[in-house]
Amino acid sequence: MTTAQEALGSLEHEALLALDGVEVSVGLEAWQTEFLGRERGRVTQALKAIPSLLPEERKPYGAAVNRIKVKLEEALELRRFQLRARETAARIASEALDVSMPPVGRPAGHAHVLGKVRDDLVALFRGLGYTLAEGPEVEDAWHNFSALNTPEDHPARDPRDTFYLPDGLLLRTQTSSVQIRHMKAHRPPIRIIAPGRVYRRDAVTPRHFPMFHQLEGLHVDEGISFAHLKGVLQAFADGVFGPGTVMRLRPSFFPFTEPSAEMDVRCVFCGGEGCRICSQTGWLEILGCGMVDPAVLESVHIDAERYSGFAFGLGIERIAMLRHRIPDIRLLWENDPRFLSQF
Amino acid sequence: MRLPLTLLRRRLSGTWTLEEVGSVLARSPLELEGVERHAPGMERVVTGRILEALAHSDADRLRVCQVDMGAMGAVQIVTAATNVQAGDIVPVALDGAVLPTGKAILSSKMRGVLSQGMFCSVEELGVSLAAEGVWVLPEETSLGFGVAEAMDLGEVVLLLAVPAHRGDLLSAHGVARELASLGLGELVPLPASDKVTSTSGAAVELGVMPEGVEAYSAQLIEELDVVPPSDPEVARVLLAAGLRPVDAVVDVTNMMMLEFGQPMHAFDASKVRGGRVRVREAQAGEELRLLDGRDVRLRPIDLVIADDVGALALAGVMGGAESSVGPSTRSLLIEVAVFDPARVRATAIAHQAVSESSQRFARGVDGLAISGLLAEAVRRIILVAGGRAGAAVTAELSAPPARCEAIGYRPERTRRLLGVSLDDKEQLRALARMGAQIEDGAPAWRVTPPSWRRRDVWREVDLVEEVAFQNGLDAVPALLPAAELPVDVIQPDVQSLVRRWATAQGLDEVMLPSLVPAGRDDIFTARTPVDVAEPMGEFQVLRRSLWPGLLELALKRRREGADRCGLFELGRVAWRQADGVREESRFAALLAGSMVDGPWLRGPESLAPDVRWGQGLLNSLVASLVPGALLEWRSEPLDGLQPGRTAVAGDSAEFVAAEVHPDVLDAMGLGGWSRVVLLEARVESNPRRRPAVGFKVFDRHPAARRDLSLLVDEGVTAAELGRVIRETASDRLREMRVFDRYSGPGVPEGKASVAVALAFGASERTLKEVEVEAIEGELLKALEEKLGARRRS
Repeated sequence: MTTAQEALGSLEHEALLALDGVEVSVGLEAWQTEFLGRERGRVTQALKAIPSLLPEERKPYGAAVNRIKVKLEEALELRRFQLRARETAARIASEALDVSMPPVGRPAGHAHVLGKVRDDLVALFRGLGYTLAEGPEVEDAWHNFSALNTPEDHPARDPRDTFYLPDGLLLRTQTSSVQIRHMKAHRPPIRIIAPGRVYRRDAVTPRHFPMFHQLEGLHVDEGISFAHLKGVLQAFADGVFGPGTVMRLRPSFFPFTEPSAEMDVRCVFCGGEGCRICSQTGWLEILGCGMVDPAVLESVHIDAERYSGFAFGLGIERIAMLRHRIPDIRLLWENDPRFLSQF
Repeated sequence: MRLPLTLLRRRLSGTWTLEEVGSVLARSPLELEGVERHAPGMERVVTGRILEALAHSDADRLRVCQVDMGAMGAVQIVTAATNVQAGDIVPVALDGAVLPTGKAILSSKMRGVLSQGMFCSVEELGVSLAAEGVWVLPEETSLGFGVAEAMDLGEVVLLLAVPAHRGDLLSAHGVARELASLGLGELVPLPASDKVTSTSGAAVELGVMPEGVEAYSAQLIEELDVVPPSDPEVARVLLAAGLRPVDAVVDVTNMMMLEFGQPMHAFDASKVRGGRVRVREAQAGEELRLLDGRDVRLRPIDLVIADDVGALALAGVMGGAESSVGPSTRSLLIEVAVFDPARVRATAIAHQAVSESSQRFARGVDGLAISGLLAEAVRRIILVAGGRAGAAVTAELSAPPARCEAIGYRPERTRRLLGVSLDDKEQLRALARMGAQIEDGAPAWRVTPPSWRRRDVWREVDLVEEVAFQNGLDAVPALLPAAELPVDVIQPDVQSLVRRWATAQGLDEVMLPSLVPAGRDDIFTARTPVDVAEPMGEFQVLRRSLWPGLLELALKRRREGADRCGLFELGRVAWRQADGVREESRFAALLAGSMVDGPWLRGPESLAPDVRWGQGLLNSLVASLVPGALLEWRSEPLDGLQPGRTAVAGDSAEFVAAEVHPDVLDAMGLGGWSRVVLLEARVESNPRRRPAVGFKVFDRHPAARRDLSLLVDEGVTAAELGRVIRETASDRLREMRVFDRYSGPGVPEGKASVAVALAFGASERTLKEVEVEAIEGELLKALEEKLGARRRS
C-alpha cells in the first residue's frame, strides 16, 4: 500500500468520524464543505494529487478516491436523514398544543330570532315570486285606515289604541299601509311582501308589546282568486312548519278584505290532539287574510271589475314564538345573551 | 260575548251538542274562544271518595275521614255528617272555597284533628233546597274533578268573538240563526209580530223623532204589583252572561236583550212629567244623572229621551237615575227602539258610559221586528210583576230605516273570485240559507238581504263572501297562481345579506324598542325628534340613533361581567325636518373589549378594537354588498364621538366608524372598556337591480413593486397622498396601499413618515426598469409640489 493510499484510508476514517460528530442538520453544511467541497474539499484535494503519482498507481488511486467520495456522499445523506428525523420529532414533541383550547378568532355571532324568521319568510315568499316593498312607519290616517276601508269611527282608530303624533300623523298600526302606497305607485300585476315594524298602544305583557313586526303580502292581477290565496298560504305553511302541514281557513272579518279569513294550522306541538299551546283546540291561529276589498282597489284607482287580488298579514313575533316555543314576548326585547345565543 | 248555553237552547231547537256547535262555528265568522262553566262558589269543590271513616277519639259525633281526591292526592276531612260511609263519593269543599251560600271553608283543627275541608250538601252548593245531609254522588263519578263539571252544575257559557260588522250575532237568537243556516239545529221563530197601534189621546204620547232614531215603540204597563226581586234561575243566567241581576222587571229587559239582541228600557211612568216622552237632541249644558249615579253634562250631539221638563235617559246608552224602575213603581213605560249606531257609540264613549245596550246599538240592531219583541216583553213583565198592558205608541220617523235594497249579483263573478265551480243552484241555496230574497235574472240576479243583515250586506262582494262561507272555505281548492318571476329575483335581499355578514363577523343581533325616552339620543344628534301625542311611560319619541340602545346593552353586559361585546342592530331612525318626517333604515354596531377570543393569547389589550377595526369592518360590509366597492374615509367631528377617531365616508355621513368620546364613556359608566367603537351605515333594504359587471381584460405581466417612504407634514392624510398618486400615475398604477404611518423619535417635529407600497404595470408587456424609475420620479415630483412630501433618505 502506498503512502497516498494510506492517506486516503485515514481521510475516509476521519470524515466518517467527523460526520458522526455532527449533531444538528445545519452543521452538515460545514462538514460537506470540508470533505466534499467542489473546490477545496479534501476529497477534491486528494484527486488533485493524482499527477504526482506513478502512472501505474494513478488508476487504482483515482478509483479509490471516487469510491470514498461516493461513500461519503451516501453517509452524508444518511446522516442528514437521521438528523432531520430527530429534529422533526423534537419539534413535534415541543410544539404539541392542546387543540381543545378555544381557537383564535371570533366565533360567529347570532342573528336575533325575529331577524332570522323575517329572513326565512322573505326568502320563502321571494321564491314564490313576491318582491319586497317598504313604507314609512310614520303614516297618515288615510294610508293606515281610510284607504283600507276602515270607517271613521272604527275602534282601531281610537287614540287609546293607536300612537298619534301631535300633528295628526300616526305610527302605522299595520303593514297593510304599504299595500296602499305600493298600489298608488304601481299598476297590476302586483306581487309584493312588506315586512316591517308596527305600533299599537298595548301595555307590556307576556303576549303584547307596544311595537311588533308584521309581514304583509299582496297579489293583484287579472283572474286572481281565493283559491290562489289558499295555494300560496299552503306553500307558506309547508315552508315554515314543514311539508304536509294541515291548514284550514276560518271565516273572519277585516275592513280591507272580503271574503276574509283566518288561517290556522294543525297544532304542530300536539298534532291536533289538543294541548296547552293550542288551548286544547288542536289548531294554531297563524294569520289573517282575504280577497282585497273592491273599496280598497277603488281607493287607489284600480278597476275592481278587471282586477282582483288577495292580501294577508302575519305577525313575525307570533311565528317566531310558535316555531321556537318562546313563552313570553318580552324575551324578544330583553336581548339577554342567554336568549340571543340560542338561535 | 258571553252566551249562556241555556239561552242558546231557547233559540236553537233540535238535538245538538256543544262539540257540534264548536265545529260549525269554525265555518262561521263567529269565533269560539272558549267554553266556561259559570258555577260561582264551586271553584274549589272537588269530587272525592271516602276511603275510611273512623270515630274521632275526642268527640262522639265526629268522624275522621281519609278521602281519595284522584290526581289531587288525598285529604283528611273531619265530618259530623251521618249519611256517609267509606266508599261514598262526595263533593269536598277544599281550603279557600267560598260556597254559594257565602260560607268560607278553611283548613282547621276540629277537636285537635286536622280537617282540610268540608263535605257539602245539595243545599250548601245551591243546587236545591230539598235534600238533607251530604250529597252522595253517583258511583261512576270521576275523582278529583270540579263538582260543577262532574255534575253539570252551574251555567255553561260560550265565549264568542263577534266580528265588528256583525251586530246581528250579538244575541242568542243571532247565533242560533247563524248555526241553523250552517245546518245545525232549527231556529225558534221570533215572537209573533203583534201590530202595535198608536192610541191617540193615550197617557203617553210621542213627539216627532229626530234624525238618528230608526224605530221607536213604547207601551205602558199599569197597575203593577210590587216589582219582585230577581228570580234565582234568571239571575244565574244573567250572571253567567256577565250582567248584574237588578229586579224582575229590569231582568226581563236584560234577558230580552241577551236573547234577541234588542236593548230595551223601562221607565217609571209616574216620573214622566207631562205624560209625553220624546227623543230629542240634548241642549248644550243640560245635565242628567245616570243609572250608575254619575252626573253627565250633555252635548247637542247626544240623543236623549226626555219628558216635558228635561232629559230622562241617554238614548240607547243608559237610563237616568230619576226615572228608573224601583220597588215603588206602579206603572212603567217599556221602550223598544233603534238608534243610529255611530251616534250611540259617540255618546257612549264621550260620557264613558259604554254599556251592553250601547255596544249592541253601536254595532247595529235589526229593529224590523220590534213590535213582536215589545209585545213579548210586556207579556213577560206582566208574568213576573202583574199589571195590565196599557196604551202602545209607535213613532213616526223622520227618515225611513236604513238600506235594505236589492243587490245585483252575478254567480259567475263568485266563481271567478273564489276559484270554485259552484253552480247557480248551489249559490241560490247558499243565499237562501242566509235568509235573502232572490229574483232570478240575467246576467245578474237581484238579491235582497234579510233585514238583520242590511247593515253589512249591501254590495255584491258581501254576497260573494256569504256564499263562500255558506259553501265552506274547505271546498275552495288550493292553487298556486301562475306568474312570471319578478325582475329582481336574483337580487339579494340586502337586510338578510347584512345580517349574515354581521353574524359572520362575530356580532350578535339585538332588537330594541324604537320608541324611547325623549332626550335619550341627544348625545349623538341635535335633530328634532318625532314625538307621540300621548307617551306611554318610556315610549315617548321615535329614536334618532341606534347607538344609545346598543351602549345601554353594552353597559348591562359589562356589569354582568362580560369581557367583550359585539352587538348590531338593523332598524329605522326618524326625525323631524322642516318638510316633514324623515325615516332611514340603518345598520349599527358596537364593539368593545377584545376583537378575538382567546385571552390566553399574550397581550389581549393589543386586540382591543379601535376605530380602524371599525373602518375595516365597514369596508368589508360594503364590499360584500357591492363587489369592489371601497370607502374613502375622512375625519369629521360628530357629537358624542372622539375627535380624531371619527371616520366618515359617503354622502352626509352614510358610513360612520368612531370611538365613543371619553367623556360619554365616563358619564355612562362604561369606563371599564378603554375604547368603545360604534359603527353605522345607511342600509337600503329594498334591493335594486344592478347591471352585471362587465369583464375587463387584466394584465398578466408581472407588476413592478416599489415601496416609497415619504416624509410629510403631519396634517397630510393618506387619502390625500393616495389621490395625488392615482392622478399622477393613473394608467400605470396597479396597486397602492399606505402601509405605515409614524411620527415620533427619529422623525422631525411636525412631520410624519408614511410608507406606501406601489405596483406598476403595462398591458401587453413588462415595464422596463428605466420606465419604472421614470414613473417613480414623476410621482415624487408631484407629491412634493402638491403636498410637500419628500422621499425619506
